[in-house]
Amino acid sequence: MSNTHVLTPQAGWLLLAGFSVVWIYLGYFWGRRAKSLDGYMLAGRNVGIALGTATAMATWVTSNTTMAAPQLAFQMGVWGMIGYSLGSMGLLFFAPMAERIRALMPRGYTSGDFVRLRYGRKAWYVFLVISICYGLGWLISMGMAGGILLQALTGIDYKVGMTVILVVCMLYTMLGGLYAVIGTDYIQSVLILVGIVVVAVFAYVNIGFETVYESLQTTRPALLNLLMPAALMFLFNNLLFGLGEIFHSNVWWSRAFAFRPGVGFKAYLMAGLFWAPIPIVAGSLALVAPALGMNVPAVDMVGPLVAARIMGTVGAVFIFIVVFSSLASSLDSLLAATSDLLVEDVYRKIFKPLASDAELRRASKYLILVLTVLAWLVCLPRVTHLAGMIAFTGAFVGSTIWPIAAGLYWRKTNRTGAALGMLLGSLVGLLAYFQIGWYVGALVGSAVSMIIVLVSTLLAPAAFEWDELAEHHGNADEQVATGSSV
Amino acid sequence: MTALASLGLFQALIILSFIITAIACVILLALLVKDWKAGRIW
Repeated sequence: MSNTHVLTPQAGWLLLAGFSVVWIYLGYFWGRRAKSLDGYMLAGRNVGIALGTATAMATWVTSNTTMAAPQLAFQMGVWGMIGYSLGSMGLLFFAPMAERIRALMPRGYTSGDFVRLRYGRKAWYVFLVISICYGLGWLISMGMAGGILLQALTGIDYKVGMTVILVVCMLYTMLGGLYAVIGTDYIQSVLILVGIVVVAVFAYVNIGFETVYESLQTTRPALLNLLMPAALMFLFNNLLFGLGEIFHSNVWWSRAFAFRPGVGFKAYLMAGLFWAPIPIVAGSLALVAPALGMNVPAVDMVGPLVAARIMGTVGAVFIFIVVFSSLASSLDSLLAATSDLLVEDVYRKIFKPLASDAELRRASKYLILVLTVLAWLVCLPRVTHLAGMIAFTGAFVGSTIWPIAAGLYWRKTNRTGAALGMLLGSLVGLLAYFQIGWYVGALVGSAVSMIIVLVSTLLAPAAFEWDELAEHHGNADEQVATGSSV
Repeated sequence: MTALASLGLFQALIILSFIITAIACVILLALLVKDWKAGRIW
């Protein structure tokens, strides 16, 4: 791997230490605002449009967006970049849903709350298994990505880099809850946007579009092919993966609850529009490689290698900052949202319905610690390939698209259809993943789930009342305040 | 089957993505200033 290092370990440590201190301090600083449970878990339910847009955008920019997009552009060409860019559809489609979620569930906490109230316990259990496993899988893949990328970029040992990035994200998330996550997301989103566009513009200004194009035409014409079948298949799978991920994951629901009324729609819409060009900008870097006559030793490192070749150490520093910001903005959100799901749906709803806010907040901190340790233990042996792990979850998230979307807008959708849609969609999607290929898991999972939800709704329409979603939590604190019992 | 993207299309796709990314950055900063002035950041 030594031939992929674009920075020395010393420079890597310096950058890592500098950013770590800043994130942890900001976690502490913003954490002082989190005086209540709503403050800690949902940033006071009053987040404005600027932070709202930035947090939705930055969280969706994972290390995959900045690292795998160049790789896909290098392997699948123009459609690889556009296909990746269609991941933004999830954010765009979620925009009206976010507004509706906030209106229907003004006191909601998690996506699990919605499934439980809308479809009952059986569907809720299926959903929790899918959602918690997915959250953990994503967390682990980000932890692994952190270690792999730090090692590849700087030569810092995988285990050390992975440990540092997990611990830093854990500390500031623990200290500041969603306030810290959303606040740091804003800074990270600006760093990502500036960093990636500066490097890419510099590359094309220096090399020239015509040189890049002619070089591709001569050496890799397939990358300019607009009818590459594998790339088109990838495009649809990625679109559905994005929809499924965003529709079901508590990462996105917690933001819908956290945004001030009227902010959700605009924030998710702008986040989708702002996110869409990022994979193309990042991917465009990879297309410069043939013009530079570069021999790329590791295809997943093509973006940073091109940046370092064109801009030297400055380019490498830019890419390091972009990658580190992408990792941190997703890791912190996953830690916060998964621990919220476990606190609200498992700890409070299953084990301790009368837990006080202070107890729940304490539980949330412990769970962030437990999730980090768990992710760290799984990441240690570096067992699986990053992209493979994410694609594996496609079947699961694809199967949740219809139960969630239909459940939010169609009162006739019934409990059995939703539970079966998620269960069978996941199983058949998984089968397709193994029998056909990684790029069809989400496609098949969502198709099976769609058929089940639609047919079951037409055969046995329910008559759900939207008011049933407006649950108000009665905990020990409120009992003391109102003298009531739950 | 092949249908190559033309230089113009290739150029337009990439330049457009650069422009939107740069605009996104400016809008994010402007929104923050606006929220700050109105006291509506959080």
